[in-house]
Amino acid sequence: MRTQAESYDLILVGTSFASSFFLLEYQRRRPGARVLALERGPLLSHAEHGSRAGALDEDAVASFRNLTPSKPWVFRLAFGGSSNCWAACTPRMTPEDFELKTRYGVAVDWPIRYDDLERHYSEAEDVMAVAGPASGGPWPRSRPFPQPPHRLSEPDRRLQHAQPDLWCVQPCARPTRPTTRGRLACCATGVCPQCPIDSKFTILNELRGLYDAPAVDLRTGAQVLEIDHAGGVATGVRWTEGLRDRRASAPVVALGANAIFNPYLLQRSGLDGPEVGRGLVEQVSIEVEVDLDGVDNFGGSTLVSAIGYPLHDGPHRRTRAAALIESHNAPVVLRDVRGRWRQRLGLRVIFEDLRQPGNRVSTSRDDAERPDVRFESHSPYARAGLASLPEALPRALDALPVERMRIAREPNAGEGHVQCTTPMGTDPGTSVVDSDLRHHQIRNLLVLGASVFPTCPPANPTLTLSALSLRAAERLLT
Amino acid sequence: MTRRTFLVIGAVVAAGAGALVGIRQVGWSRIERNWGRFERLEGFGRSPIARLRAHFAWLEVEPGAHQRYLADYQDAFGLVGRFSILRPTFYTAFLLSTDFFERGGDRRPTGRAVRYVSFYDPVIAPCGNPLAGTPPTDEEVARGFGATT
Repeated sequence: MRTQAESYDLILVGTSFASSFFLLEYQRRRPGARVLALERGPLLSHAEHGSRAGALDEDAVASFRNLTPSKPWVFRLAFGGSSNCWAACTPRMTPEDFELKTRYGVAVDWPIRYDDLERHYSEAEDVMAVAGPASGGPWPRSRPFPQPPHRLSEPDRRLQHAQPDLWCVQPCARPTRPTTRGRLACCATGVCPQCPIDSKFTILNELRGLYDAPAVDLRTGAQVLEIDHAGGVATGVRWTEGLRDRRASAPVVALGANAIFNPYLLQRSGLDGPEVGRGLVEQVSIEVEVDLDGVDNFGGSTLVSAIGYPLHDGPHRRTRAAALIESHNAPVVLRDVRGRWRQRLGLRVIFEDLRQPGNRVSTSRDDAERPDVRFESHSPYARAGLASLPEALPRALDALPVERMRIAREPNAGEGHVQCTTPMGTDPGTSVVDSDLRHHQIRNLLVLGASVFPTCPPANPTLTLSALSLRAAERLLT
Repeated sequence: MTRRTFLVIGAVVAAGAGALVGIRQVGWSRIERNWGRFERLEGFGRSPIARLRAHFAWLEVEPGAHQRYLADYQDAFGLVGRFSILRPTFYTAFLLSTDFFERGGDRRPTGRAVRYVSFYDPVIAPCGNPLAGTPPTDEEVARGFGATT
């Protein structure tokens, strides 16, 4: 049954980071504007996310046809999206990450530079109450982090002392002080995806109020089916809600689903193109266990205490992927040797990757309601990075008395950072949106989130995609 | 050389050559990576309580602590028996479930039996990481904590 289209100033698809940071800036500039926010999943409490995590994970898995089951894609379909299950690590991308082509002759440059995003990075960090180092880190900053840094472990301190430019406290949205909205300081429980004390930033605990504004109409259980458009202009969206077919119109439509459903919705809407859905990727990471001789670990005050850049930039990046090194503090890797329980360091090394044409999201011939997701492989560039690890990592850890180092047999199956399926760029022939995240052909249609990343840098994407959303709303309304 | 000595030497040489060929075929790195599985066979064939007691024979533990831990462990991970290959964390999680670290038992003798506190499960019993440091104090921050050294 079709109902009469309702009319709004903005239709927002999804309620995760991308949509919520866009809405935050949009409301600042247009406080009374009528907004329709469509969320496919339910609105659950923090406690329900904990108790129903397994079922919610199954819902996400069932929402698409994974043609490569060995490669999982992790996200959450619920109000606040994957903010409900992220680990809250928020490193910025480095200036070099934006300029892979110019600096290293690899892949493409982003159509914006670090400086274009710096102010928005700072704003996003303020909203999330990010704890970060007083100095250091490869990110030029215009103002300090809003929260003091976490405490480093002893191995972290030694690494930082030896290479002060390359190791620092991990910036994260796990605060060191209670926040103004009542989030408690992180207590290093180490199970961040299900933070038991609701300390990490989520849309639910910090930005829920955006959706309570009288001018915002939040619909949960609302699955968007397609974007209406005519004559090169988006006119609204069609969705199902409670088995009813619905339609709304607006002069601006912003897609903030994720890197699987953003391209899928474009394809379903007849807005396919050579780059839509193509290049699906996320970083590739691998676990490393390091036994230390006489140095105790685990004294940091949060799950990931330090972040290292010795494998990040350098001439090697012309031929193999850059990597970040995370230093972990959860005692699950305690060493089972009497008197030496703490002498073990858990590391995760995270490599960047590049878009690969065989990895893609597409409409399915066999299923009218779900996209096909196919993943052929990580790029040779990422695989070369991984292959270099046994030789490169010992040099990076030279400041530690390493007794034994064990690199996991296989990389982790997934990172939960789906990216790159509607890339941003200046050329409509090789990209889907411009630097303001506006669709090249449908100018009043914005595509938000990590699907717009043209490359997949080692840094966790959340802070960057949130900053991009703040910037996109500002650019749209000025 | 007697015939017996000749046979013994021959057997030793053959076994050594066989081992070398085997290592070459399998790959030393693979053997090294899987060594932990053999370590987890410690006490194989004995009851889990006996394995715990033997592993921590040097540690004074309050009566009933092993049993309580095993019960909670089995609630979380399922039954374990004499012939189970235990998870790598079976023993370390026992220590984390007691007041061993909290009382500094890993640094010095405490002169008393360790007590069972609760099964180490950071979701059910949050903020119970006995090894974690605390965030820097305001005084430390004022003194420049977190600046690159």
